[in-house]
Amino acid sequence: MMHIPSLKYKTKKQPIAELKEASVYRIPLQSYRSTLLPLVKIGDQILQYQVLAEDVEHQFAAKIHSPVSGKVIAIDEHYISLENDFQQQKITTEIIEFQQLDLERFVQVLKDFGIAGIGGAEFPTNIKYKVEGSEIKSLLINGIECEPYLTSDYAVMRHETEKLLKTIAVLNQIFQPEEIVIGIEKQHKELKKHFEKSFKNYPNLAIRIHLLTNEYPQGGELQFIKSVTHKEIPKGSIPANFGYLVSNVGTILAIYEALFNGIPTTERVITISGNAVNSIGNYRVKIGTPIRHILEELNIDAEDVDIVLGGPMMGKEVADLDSPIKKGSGGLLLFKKQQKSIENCIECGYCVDVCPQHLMPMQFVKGHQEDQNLLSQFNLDHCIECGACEYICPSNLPLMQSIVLGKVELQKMRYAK
Amino acid sequence: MEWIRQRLDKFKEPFGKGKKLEKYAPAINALDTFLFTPNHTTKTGAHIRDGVDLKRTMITVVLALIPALIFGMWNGGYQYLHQLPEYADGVPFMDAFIEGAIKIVPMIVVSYAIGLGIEFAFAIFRGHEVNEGYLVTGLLIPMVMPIDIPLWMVGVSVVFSVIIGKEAFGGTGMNILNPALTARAFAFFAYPTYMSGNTVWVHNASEIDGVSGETILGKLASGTEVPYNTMDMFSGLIPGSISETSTICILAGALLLILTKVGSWRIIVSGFAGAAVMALIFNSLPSLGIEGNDLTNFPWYNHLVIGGLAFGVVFMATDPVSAAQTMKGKWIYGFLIGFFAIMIRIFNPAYPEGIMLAILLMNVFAPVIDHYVVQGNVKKRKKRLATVKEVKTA
Repeated sequence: MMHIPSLKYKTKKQPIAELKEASVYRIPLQSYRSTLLPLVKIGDQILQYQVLAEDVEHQFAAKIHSPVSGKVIAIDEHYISLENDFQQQKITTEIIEFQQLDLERFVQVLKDFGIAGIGGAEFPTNIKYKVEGSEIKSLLINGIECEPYLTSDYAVMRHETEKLLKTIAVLNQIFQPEEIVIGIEKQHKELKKHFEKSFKNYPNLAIRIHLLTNEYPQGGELQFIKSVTHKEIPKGSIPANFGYLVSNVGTILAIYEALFNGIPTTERVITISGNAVNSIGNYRVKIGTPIRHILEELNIDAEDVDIVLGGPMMGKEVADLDSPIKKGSGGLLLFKKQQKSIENCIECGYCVDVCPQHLMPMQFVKGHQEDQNLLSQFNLDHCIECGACEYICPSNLPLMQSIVLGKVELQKMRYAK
Repeated sequence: MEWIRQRLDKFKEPFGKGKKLEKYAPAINALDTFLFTPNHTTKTGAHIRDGVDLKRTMITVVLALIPALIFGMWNGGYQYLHQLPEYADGVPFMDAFIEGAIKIVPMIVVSYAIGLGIEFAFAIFRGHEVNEGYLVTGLLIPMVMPIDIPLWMVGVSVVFSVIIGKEAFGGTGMNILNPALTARAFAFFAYPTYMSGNTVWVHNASEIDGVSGETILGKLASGTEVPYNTMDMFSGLIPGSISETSTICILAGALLLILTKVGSWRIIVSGFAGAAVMALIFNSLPSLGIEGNDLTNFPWYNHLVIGGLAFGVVFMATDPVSAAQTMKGKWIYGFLIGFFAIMIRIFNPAYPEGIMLAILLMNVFAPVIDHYVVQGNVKKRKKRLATVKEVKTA
């Protein structure tokens, strides 16, 4: 792991601001590793919070709901486009009796309300929480937002503390963990006092705050578990099988909305920042809001800049301004164009030093370009794609490109066998 | 700046894609990227980058070399002048510095001119860009040579090191051996009379009677008395290769390398530790009833500050390309360099400069060290993961 200048001071003090509704929403159909199947047709009138698409076949991606009421105007393989009629006609949802909630019912609620990991991967929370028999030792609340610039989780912890704790109390009642740990970074240690003030209202919770170093990628699930519990969990396994339940604070907030207000995941908090914008801050936006709408609302000039959806390390560059905000997008960042040239690898080993999974990333570039056997030999499968190696590389090697494409090659090799 | 840019763009025109001189584009691009930041960029992956890139890494190493180089120039002149009768009551700084610089600057010029010439030629034939790596190598080569070596020998060594040591393997980042040490090893074995003995280490020593020019290691090997104390050895007021003598200046460079994380502190620390351990073993021979010689009984702390050990460990062993890559591998690699350096020094007095051979030896073994470190880690990890409950994969 390594230290990166976090630059969170830019947006840390900002409250969570609201944004005006857009007239058109584009609901993303790609989520986690699956594509959702639309349940509506072009021309359908839809209500706010109605289910729009579901992964019928695999159940491997969370459902997605309509953020507004209106009409379906287009459907393609990536997006459902909605026209907002600004009527806010809501679908009626039943009120959940969370006092008598058992695990089975709770998992069903998570599924129905489309709760997914807000931290970035959009892993369906109902799969993660299906613990079936394994005892939960610790409930870990991940408040580590290790990506530079992003403060959306910080804003949630700062301004929605009560909602988080209410939800945690419900989770406590369902899973009966031995302890509950909220992990936060040392740079936000003022939050510790802030939380502890509220803990007094929940005397039954065995809850504590764990301060962790400001390293990247501290907030990755496996790194977070290791830092808090000193147990290393293999990549690709479900932490619940080892007795750990990990959820991002944003996900907890989404669960709150589902349990207490009957609202599915249709909005989230994002940070707008970067080295190429002035109007920055934390905003509550609806899933599916086109980036163009946000830029227009905030009067941001997007000429000649790189627009990144998500964090600066793992986020994806946006080519089309009509692409929407997704459940896992923690930020919308605008950067000046980078000017770096690719040199030869000098085998300095910086990437080996920083790799949180203790891999040798430089071998993946070689593996991708020359000898594909290296990919499996050096366990590319264990890579979490955090981008730390690419950040530090003095030769500016295309590490992430090799890793992403290398994983595709690995899959191909496996299918061929 | 704008004007230069325009000129350069105009000058570059015939080198463009499909134009007559396209073949030679790398040479022009090298000049361009040296003056301006390049405009071809990476597109995917992390959107922010650490400020350290290859160029800055190389320049940091050059800066770290400056104290040792300046001291080397001064010492080169001083070692000669202070033995002359007319400087019996002290040598003015500038006199000594200029005397040394007159010998050393042409060596640097020759090294850069020939080395960069070959690099440019290879870049054109191969169609790749010129890397900054030679800025370091080209400075290191004269710094590890004796002061009186003829310029053509420097040139031939440079040719050998760049072509055989580096480009034959595929250029920057691909070489197995440290190119600067390859040059020195070439000169050492090809022209032994210019690279060893008791007259080459002090400027003009052979021309003047009564000038003593033997290195400490030479004296130890031949059994003559060493007229220097530990402080002389540490500060570097002794004969030797141009920049290897002053341990204090080398340590200043080492500090810069470690603080900027350009040089691996693991290799530097373990290198000195390895040398200290080996020397201590030899020092303890008399207590076991074995009578050693002058070399084995030379105190271990003096072993650390004489000869090229410090220079080699700090500037040569930390060359990332030829060193081990894994963290544990770096510890082993550095330790063995120090260990073997003292061993070669003592067991074979014909090669008093053990550090050169020790580093070249370990360069060859670095990939093997890495391999076993990686295998060890894989095994350990598998074992650790096997102890936790059975794994259900998603």
